[in-house]
Amino acid sequence: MTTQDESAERSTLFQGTVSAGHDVVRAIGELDIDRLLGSEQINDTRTSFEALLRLDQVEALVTAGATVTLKRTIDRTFPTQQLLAQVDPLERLRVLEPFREDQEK
Amino acid sequence: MYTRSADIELVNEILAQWFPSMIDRVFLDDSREGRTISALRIHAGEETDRRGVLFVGGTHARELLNPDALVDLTIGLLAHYFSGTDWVIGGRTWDAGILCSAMRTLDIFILPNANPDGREYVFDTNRMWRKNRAPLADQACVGVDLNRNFDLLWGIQTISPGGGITTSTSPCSDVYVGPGAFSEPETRNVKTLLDSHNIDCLVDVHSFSELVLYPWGHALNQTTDSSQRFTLVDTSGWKELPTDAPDYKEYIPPADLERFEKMGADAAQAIKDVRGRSYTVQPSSALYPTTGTTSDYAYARHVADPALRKVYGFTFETGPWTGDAEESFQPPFPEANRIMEEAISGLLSVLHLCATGATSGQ
Repeated sequence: MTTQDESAERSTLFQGTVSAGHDVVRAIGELDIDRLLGSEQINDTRTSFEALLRLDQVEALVTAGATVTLKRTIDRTFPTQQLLAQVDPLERLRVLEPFREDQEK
Repeated sequence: MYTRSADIELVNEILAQWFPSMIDRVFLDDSREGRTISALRIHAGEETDRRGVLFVGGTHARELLNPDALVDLTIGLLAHYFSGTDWVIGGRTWDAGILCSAMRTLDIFILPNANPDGREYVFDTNRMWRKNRAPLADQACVGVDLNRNFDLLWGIQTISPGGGITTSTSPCSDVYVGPGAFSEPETRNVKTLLDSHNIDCLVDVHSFSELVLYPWGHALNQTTDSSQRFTLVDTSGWKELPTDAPDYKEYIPPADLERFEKMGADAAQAIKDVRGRSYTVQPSSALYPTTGTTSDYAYARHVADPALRKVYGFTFETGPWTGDAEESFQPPFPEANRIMEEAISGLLSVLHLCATGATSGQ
């Protein structure tokens, strides 16, 4: 069985900038957008912020009157070769081997 | 390197096995999905009356580098203690005597990976996942934002000046507060450590933005009207802040504010010394308003109950916004190593100040 969340998890995700009037930003709170907190820029009339967006959220934002600029597609697959431990984590402990208390010196 | 949750726990297990006189592995409640969560208590020498420091990493799953930074901090502390050598981190040198003194004076608690389920979900399914993996009754969505689940004005939504919701009661939101304060084992674990030990100082390490944050998060600070405290005012009508209390400012004693600013500035300088990056020191509310956060809760405990120990609670936001979400949350190597070094230097500053009594004024 697929939950709504799992289904949403599989949909394409974009990083984009959302720009709208303050009232519109307040109104779109119900869309549960994954805002990149701290990215908000505010002036007298408008707010803009970076967010991770599904396509259905993009459509809803545009319908609500927001301007959405999509910058890139997020690859949700973790880049194992690039980022996962290149060294066995136990290698990091090797520097402590000479000081072990649990072995005869 | 970004390490899997099981390997982080394996490091804890091995260190406790190798150094039984100096390291206690503190088993906490398992995660929602049944993964082991443990903290290390690190202490050297014979001193029995110790003050404690608690460093927490991995609260938000996608902020991958902070648990690894705490593992490296643990290993580095031990290595430099045993070898009696200075710790050179970029342009900053931490004197061996300072490190030794901290180890002999303090109980250093390190909870490197507070949210192991979320971390594994990042590796296996969605690298942008933030919350834990709590199944929510009658809800299609999964997960609670652990950094909104603590018992400080819990459940009150917050909204930024630009209208963005930064604390939410909607289960599908990434800043969802959860079904109740401390509903999650991962947040109760931090409370357990605070309840059980003489902890003076807590740093919850997050990413990104290059910030050192201190209380308060729910309102602006003021130092003149002590009647304006969340414990003294009627908060029952507050459903959303600042909407429901637009003029409210939270009292913070001047001496406490001075300590927060001093410790924060010293941490930022220790970070800057590594390679010149400037972290901004500011109250959490200056970033965006929040309720139910780890570091505010730690400090608020003493306000709510003066019998409890005062905990100086900070949040570090490590690394810069690069314009790219993946890079900002999960910097590629070797840049990730440089950011970890900055975090470690900032944390050593906090250790040093706690060891020398900067937080001893209860």
